[in-house]
Amino acid sequence: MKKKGIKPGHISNTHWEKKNYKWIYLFLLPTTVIFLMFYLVPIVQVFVTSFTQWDGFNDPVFNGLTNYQNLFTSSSFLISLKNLLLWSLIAMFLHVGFGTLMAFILYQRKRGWKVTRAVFMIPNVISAAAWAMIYRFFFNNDFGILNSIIRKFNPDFEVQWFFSSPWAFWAVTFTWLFYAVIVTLLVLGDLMNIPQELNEAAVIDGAKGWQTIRYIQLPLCRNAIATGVIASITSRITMYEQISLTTAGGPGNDTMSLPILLVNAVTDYRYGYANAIGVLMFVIGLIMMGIINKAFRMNESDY
Amino acid sequence: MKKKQFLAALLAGLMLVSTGCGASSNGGGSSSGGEGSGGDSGEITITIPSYKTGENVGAVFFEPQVERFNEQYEGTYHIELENVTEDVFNDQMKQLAQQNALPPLVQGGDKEWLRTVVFPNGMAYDISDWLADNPDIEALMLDDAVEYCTEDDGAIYSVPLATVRPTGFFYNSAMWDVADQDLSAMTMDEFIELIGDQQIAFSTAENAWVSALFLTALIADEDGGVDLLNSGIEEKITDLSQPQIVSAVEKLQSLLQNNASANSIGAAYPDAANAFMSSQASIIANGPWMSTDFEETNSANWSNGFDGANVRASLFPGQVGIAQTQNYGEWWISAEATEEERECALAFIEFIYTPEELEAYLLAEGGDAPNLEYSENFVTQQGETQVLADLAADTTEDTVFAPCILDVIPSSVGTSDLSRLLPSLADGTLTAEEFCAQLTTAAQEATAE
Repeated sequence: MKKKGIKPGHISNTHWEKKNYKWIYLFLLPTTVIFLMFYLVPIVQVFVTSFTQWDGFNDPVFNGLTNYQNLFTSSSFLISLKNLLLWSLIAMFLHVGFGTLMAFILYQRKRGWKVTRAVFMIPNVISAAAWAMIYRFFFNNDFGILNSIIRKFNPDFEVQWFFSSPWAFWAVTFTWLFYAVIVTLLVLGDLMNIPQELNEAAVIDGAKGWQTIRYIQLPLCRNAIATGVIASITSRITMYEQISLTTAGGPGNDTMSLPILLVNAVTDYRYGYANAIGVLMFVIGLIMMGIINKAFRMNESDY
Repeated sequence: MKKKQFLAALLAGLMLVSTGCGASSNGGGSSSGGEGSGGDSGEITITIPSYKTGENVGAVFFEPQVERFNEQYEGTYHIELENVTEDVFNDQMKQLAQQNALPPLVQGGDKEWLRTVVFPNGMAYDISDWLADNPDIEALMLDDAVEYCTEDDGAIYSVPLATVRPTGFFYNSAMWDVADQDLSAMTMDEFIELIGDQQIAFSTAENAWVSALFLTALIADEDGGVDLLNSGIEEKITDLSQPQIVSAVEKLQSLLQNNASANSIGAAYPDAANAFMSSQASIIANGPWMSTDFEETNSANWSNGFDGANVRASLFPGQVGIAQTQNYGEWWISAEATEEERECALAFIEFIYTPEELEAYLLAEGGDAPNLEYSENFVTQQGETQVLADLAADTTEDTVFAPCILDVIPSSVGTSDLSRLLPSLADGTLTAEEFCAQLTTAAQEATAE
């Protein structure tokens, strides 16, 4: 007998869910165990030891907020925060913008779009470290491609792109700026999922090409773009190889980043200080995710 | 349905078990830590991770040395080498120590780590009794080294050095014909004047090794400079704005601006070596181990008419040799080693401290063993390698030893800050005072409690 006021389908779903709880838990168990062992415990350890003076071997000694005070009075740290902000803005507008633009171009399905997509994918299978080395040659003052081309027009041209201000910042930026295939794939996926009826309805209502993109397609890709922004900004927070293998944070502090500071602290056996940097990276990441979540209304469904 | 449920349970179980197994095998794996075994033959075998293997320049001498040991003690002791890249070697030792999986015989390790972690925490075996039982070996060791390695309670953990390898510089006499002059006897100012417009191979990337050597020599040339450098052995120098350093940096800046080879900015050590061995620079600072690069067997690395036979060597002006005699040695024995492993490890140390092996080492990598009476054969052979003979001739009682600047400043300042700031010093963005002030800030931040 059916209960009053409850739809039959709902009873069936709840019953099905309850019946399968044990299986859900069982399949979740390995992931949960891995998360606890390899993520949660180290994260908690990082948080706790960030309030200690610790050389990584001897017992940590609680020192309150000293590590954080040292951080916020360090010029290198403040510059690395400024760099992170700049790189995040560049990532959000230029990197994600370029990836989105590519997705819309590919969505037109012009001749050769699949080949283009595959070619665009290639840089993604090359490690960041390898790219950094490639760019060291690309930007080399003596025999780099860039300066060789410029010298065709200006024979006296001499710029050490990675080692002089203000070029180093932009040279490092160039090593990742146009590799936005993740964003492209995310947005392209959303574009392809837009029901054809919506596009057709827009056309029937008289929408031109740009209007369809502006008022139909772009809003419907909101979640994919937001995910792309989160992915690219968190990559900037953790960006290490591209800097370490090119400028090492220099010249001066021009390209200093939080991971470089973290590694330097580890080199000096200041694990407490290094973990304080780690905590701040974690917190900055969470804040960024929260802001982007809100700004792009990621929790709201479009369909 | 039952079948499906059973299959699902089986799969979930397998996932869980494989997770557990993975974790277990990760944690339990100890092969990299080196292990000892008696084996059926009664031969004691130990495995030691070493960076002096494979393509590493140190492998040229070390691997055959281990082979000689294995041959000499065949059936009794045997050493297996495990290849570890030099860049990650110290970190790997630290990880093995954390897992209580240190090899029986440990090759070096980060000095600060040894001083503050390994030795105070009883992770190394005390060899003082063994040394007392082997006075011949102890007599070969450098007095400074024995003193430095002896702890307050008399324990000796690190095997003190018997050799010193003062670092100077090499020059291509075909490009810079000064072989008839005693460069180490000059003052630094005379030397810089003599350099004229010769090109020096500098490196500014990684730890800016070649530039750091020149900077050390320039500091050592200043009044009180050697004392200043020596003061950093016990306690790292955090005030890098001291007058001797500022003055030395001014001279370094001038050399970087006027004499640096074209690829110096952003160059790592291999780039600097390449500049020297392709005749783009006539001078490079480096240790005597580089002598093997100038042998005919390595001529594949030469270009632009470079000929290793033209290379000569000298200590720095003011008879300065960059070397740190107050230092830990290359080897120490893990406290966790079994008695058999320890026996094998001690036999190896005894072997490498025999006069024959010490002489072989000096012939291969250069340097001096002040307490060893050289054989005639050694003296003859040493004379055949021009650069080693040059350095041996320069190393006298009047030689002033100074530690490299990289060893007396906080690690991160040497490995990161120095290379970050050198390009700005070279292009004039920073003055010497500003450069030193920024290094001081970095050094003080790196040592903040």
